[in-house]
Amino acid sequence: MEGFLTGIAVLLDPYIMLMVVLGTIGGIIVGILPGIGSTMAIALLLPFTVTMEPIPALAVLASLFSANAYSGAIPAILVNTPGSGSSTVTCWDGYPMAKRGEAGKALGMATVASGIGGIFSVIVFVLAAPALARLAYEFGPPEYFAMYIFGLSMLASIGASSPVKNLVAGAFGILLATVGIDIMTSTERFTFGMPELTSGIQFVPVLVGLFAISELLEQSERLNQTVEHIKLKVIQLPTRDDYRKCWKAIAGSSLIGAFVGILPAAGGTVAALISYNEAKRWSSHPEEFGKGAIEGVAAPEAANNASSGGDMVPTLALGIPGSAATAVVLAGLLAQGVRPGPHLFNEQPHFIYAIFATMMAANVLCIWMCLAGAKIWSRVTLMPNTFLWPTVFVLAVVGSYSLDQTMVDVYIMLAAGFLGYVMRRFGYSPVPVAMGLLLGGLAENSLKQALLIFDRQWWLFGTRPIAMLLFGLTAAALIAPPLIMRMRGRQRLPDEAFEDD
Amino acid sequence: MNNGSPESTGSSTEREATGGSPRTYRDLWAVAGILAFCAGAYAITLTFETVPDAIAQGLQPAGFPQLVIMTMAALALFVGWESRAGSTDAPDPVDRIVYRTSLLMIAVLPVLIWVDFFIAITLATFAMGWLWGERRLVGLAVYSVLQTIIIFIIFSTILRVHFPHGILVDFLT
Repeated sequence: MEGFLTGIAVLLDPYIMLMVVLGTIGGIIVGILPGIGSTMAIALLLPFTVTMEPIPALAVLASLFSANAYSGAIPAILVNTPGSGSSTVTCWDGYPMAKRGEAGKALGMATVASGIGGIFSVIVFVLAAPALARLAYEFGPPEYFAMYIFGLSMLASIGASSPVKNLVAGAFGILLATVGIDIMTSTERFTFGMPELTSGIQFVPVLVGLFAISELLEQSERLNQTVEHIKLKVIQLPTRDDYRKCWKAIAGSSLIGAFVGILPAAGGTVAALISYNEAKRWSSHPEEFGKGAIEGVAAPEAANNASSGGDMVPTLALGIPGSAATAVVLAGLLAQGVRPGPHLFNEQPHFIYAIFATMMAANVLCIWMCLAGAKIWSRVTLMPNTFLWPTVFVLAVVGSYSLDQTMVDVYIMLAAGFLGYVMRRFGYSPVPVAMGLLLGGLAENSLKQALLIFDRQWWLFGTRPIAMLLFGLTAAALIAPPLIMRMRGRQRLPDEAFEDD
Repeated sequence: MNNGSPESTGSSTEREATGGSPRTYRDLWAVAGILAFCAGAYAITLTFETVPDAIAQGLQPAGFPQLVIMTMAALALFVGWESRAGSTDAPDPVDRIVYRTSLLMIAVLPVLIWVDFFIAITLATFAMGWLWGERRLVGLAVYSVLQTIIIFIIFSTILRVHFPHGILVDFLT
């Protein structure tokens, strides 16, 4: 109750509420613009937020993250192009509905299902994050090391490409995290005598490059694509008959979404895909799926929004990102000096309550804004790429420079962008690089501390049951992806659809 | 448009139909590149200082990077082994616009440093828009200038970011 009141008190501050509104509007807009996912948007926003006080900065990031999952459905339904990766599945039934003149009905159902999924996910977040943090409170360095390895092993399951390629990319990210002075021994590693590298590679320019510049280069190849834009006349709230058809899909998908979200490195796209398949399986008329079934819109939208709160659970409770977007949120928290993990819940609970409250407010605001302003938002899909992407480039340059006001960060950002583009071409997702960069330093430090505790006898990890359990889960996480790949073989999504996962 | 719908077949099927080159070719090149990178990185770790055991706290400075590099190399070898089946798509040739856009982004850097930050970002917006096929040049020019003004207000005036010296930066700040 005290936490709830603290959260409400946060929202009573007009400045913070303004940040929530701006973050929500920003999240809706970037969700609508195809190619600009929440990961890229949050990465581009980080340079702004590092100059703010921590709670307003968190309010912007959390509300943008929450709002983004909503609006991806708008271009998915009207233009057959998902605004964010997690809305890819929404195209399958949303666009056929729009083509037969039911765009307003599809958008209405998408908004309501998103709202239910989003609010449910925040409730799950409120309940699960402190519980998980309490569980992790007694963790020592060996358990933390095992947990980071487990988090990194989950990278195998992201994306549509080879799980091993994801792990290679993750290892590269960890290697990047070793650049700079080793804190324990004050030894320079991979600095090549450059003073700018002694403090290590900054997260933000790398993330901006990997997600914004590589996407920009990919978008340049799609300039000749033409899309048919279906005009939205009016948004329609679902009827009683629609609810009767969809309630099972929405309830089940909200549960699936929240659960998938809690798993490290699995996010909205995976949740949407699983819930779509389940909704189809539960449906009394599965043959209509893919041809404009309203449950085919409700299920993925409920799931991808439900995963947003779930994603925050491991991010805040354990310091392991639940998805690529929360990896960037985590980078933002670290830049603010907030160290996520079980101690955060005891030492700085007001941060947690602020995030709860801002996410809940963003979800409620989104329902209202998407219903009331659907026609205006639909116009955003018309923004030409020839104006949009040069702006992304400029924001990437200015944002990277402004962090430490050094051009080295701009060079790093561009290098990361070109690297990300090359990686994507060869089937290596840039998401694991980001995760590896974030978790690599933490994993190394906890390994060193564990070895110190064990007096360099690494086999003593076997005496720590929780660590062994986590290593067991790691093994399972490495074995499971080939099975998932086989499942996905029937419904293959492009790699970009998983960029925000 | 391929939006990843269940009906999407991907490029491999198209290429197989047209009798394209084997899919494994570039994957093995990528693996070779990764292995070469690992060898180079490992060689660099051999130059790291060795510290007394009491300071190393269980792991020498080179120990963790070496462990990561060896894991990366082993995984890369596994990718190579996986690609024997020939199931990996070779990427399509890089479009000329990608090279041009990349060159433009690199060309902006000297202008940023030696001429002026704000002039550079205005020119970059205009040039990239034009390069990508925008021919409403007046609109593009107005957009480029307005965007720069907004960025100046946000970053220089509100966030107090100090940009490198230049003609406009010195004049405005």
